[in-house]
Amino acid sequence: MAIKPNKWTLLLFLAIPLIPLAVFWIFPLLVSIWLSFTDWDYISPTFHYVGLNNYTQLLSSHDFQAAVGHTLYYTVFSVIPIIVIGFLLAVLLNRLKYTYKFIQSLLFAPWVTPMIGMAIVWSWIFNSQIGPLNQVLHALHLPAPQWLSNPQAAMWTIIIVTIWKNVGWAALFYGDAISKIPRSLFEAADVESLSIWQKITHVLIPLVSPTTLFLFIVEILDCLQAYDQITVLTQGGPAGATRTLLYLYYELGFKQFQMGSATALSIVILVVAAILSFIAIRLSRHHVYY
Amino acid sequence: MAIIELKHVRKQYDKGETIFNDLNLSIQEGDFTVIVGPSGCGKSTLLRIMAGLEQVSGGEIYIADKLENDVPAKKRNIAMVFQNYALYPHMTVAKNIGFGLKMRGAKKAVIKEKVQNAAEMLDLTAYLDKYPADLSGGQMQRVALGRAIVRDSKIYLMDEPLSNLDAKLRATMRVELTKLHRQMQATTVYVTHDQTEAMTMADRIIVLYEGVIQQTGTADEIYTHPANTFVASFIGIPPMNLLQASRQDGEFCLAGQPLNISKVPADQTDLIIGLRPEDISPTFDSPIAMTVDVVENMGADQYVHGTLGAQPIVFRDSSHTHYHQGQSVGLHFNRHISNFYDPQTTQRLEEATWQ
Ligand SMILES: Nc1ncnc2c1ncn2[C@@H]1O[C@H](COP(=O)(O)OP(=O)(O)OP(=O)(O)O)[C@@H](O)[C@H]1O
Ligand SMILES: [Mg+2]
Repeated sequence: MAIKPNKWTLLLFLAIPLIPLAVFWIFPLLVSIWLSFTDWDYISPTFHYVGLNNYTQLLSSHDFQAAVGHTLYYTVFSVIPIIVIGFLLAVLLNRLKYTYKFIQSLLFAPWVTPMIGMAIVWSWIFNSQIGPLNQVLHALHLPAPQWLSNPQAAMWTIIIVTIWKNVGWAALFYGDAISKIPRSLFEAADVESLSIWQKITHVLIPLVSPTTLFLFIVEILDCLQAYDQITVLTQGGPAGATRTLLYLYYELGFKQFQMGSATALSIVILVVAAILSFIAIRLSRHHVYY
Repeated sequence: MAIIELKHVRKQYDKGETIFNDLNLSIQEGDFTVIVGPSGCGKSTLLRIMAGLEQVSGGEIYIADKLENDVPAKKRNIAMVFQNYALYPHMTVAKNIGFGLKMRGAKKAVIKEKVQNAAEMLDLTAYLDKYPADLSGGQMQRVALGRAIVRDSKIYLMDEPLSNLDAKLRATMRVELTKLHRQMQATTVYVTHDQTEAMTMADRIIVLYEGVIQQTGTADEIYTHPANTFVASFIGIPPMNLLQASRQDGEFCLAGQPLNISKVPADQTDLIIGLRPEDISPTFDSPIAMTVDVVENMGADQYVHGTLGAQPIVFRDSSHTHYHQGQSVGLHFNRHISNFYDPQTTQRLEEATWQ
């Protein structure tokens, strides 16, 4: 026997969990949209409405265009290695049954440790004079770049730290997905005399595709939100080489106190994130098996 | 020639019970061998050992006279139908069937033709573009079967490949598989718990129970002379009557009547008489009489169940006589076939015969 709840009771039960969402998400979002049409400077009590000015200026500014390029570069070269290495790690770890729990916690550590702390350690590792990385490279007679002060290399330090932080987490997700594939599918592949490579490309990869899609979306969003490692390692420099969209937002808002432009930028980031997620989910209908 | 030979095979799962202790069997080249036994007796385990999917804990496995204990499944070139189908969920029916061929580099046209032929035989043509998730259990099972039969293999292992089909389709598939086997002459090891499949398809039947081979032989041998009471009660529908008889004044008697059984070892005080339902017929003038309980009408004939003394008994009658509950029916035993069992060991007393 089921009690049929009336419409208002239902609404009430739906509304209660929505309150925090409204307070902490929808309300600030609306305020941001509103701010993006003003020239508020973060401090003074007065401001003016400037219409779409913030947007037109932002979109045509050189800083913004450069930041788009940096964000794209950073995201592509972080996300792809994270997913590829994470997958390979999971495949390897899947064979170690007994040490698995220990290695799992090891992989998870970078993800749960505060990025600020880790980034400080990394800034020491990458230090071109005293850092251990360059000492090793010197000893091996390999080129040892000025990691943090060379614009090209600086971006790669950020990328390397991001990969290091996220790859174990991705491996855990893949590990879980792999362990859920029925063993008999691999046995069937064995009976059909498939090589390891064929098993990976034709059985394993298609069957973990939901995880791949999920990781793609999450990792892209994570890259769009990267802040800690940039602020500790390079502060967007040298010469703006590591200034991503989010870092530009921070500089506009909290260094130059152009809150209007900053919120306009944040709205742009939000829209980009939404579009990317939408495209990914669209693509998934054709290439992801659930 | 034996193409698969298992010698003294022992199998124990990780810290589990022992499934096989000392299993010996040989499969003849080109034979259709059926392994039959109740659920949990180790049929799948045995097949997986042959396929190389399961390591043995002891003993030797020879395939074509080569010791293959350490040869992995992918090097054995054996086709297998899995009990749980093991279909790839991300591939259509056609892709599932043709997948192995494709991976081995077969030409597109060849794959297409083979898949088409298999689909026709298995009545799957309408489903070639569907995914496993959209199929019924019986359809998935036929896809699994299709995947094995498109292969060019010397040995085919099939784990209950028809268990999920309806009675009619199962009957057709039995005939199709028998024809296919006659055509290809490939060694087939077929696992089932369905004795009709065993009886109708097998060149040779292996009856397995609790990890021990109870009997090996042709359908005829196993049906007419079951090696022990387990086989007697497992093969045949309804099963063989097993009637307890004990010595009175040196004669084995049933319902107080002497039976005239000879060559029984002298120390045997009791024995079990095995009689197929078709070897018992109703008669007016027999001192041995049963009380009718239930009559099963099978169409062409009927099975009359009842009790003889306290023991259950059933006979087959094709005369369309009407029996009713509580009726007393005199019984005549056909004495052409002698099956007597030792109640202690449950084994057949080979020498004993009707007089
Ligand atoms: N991976 C495993 N680990 C431990 N025990 C197992 C494993 N697989 C099977 N067994 C045990 O081995 C015995 C035989 O199993 P098997 O699957 O061979 O039976 P079967 O004859 O195929 O039964 P069915 O007709 O139900 O398929 C069972 O008691 C089962 O519990
Ligand atoms: Mg089984």
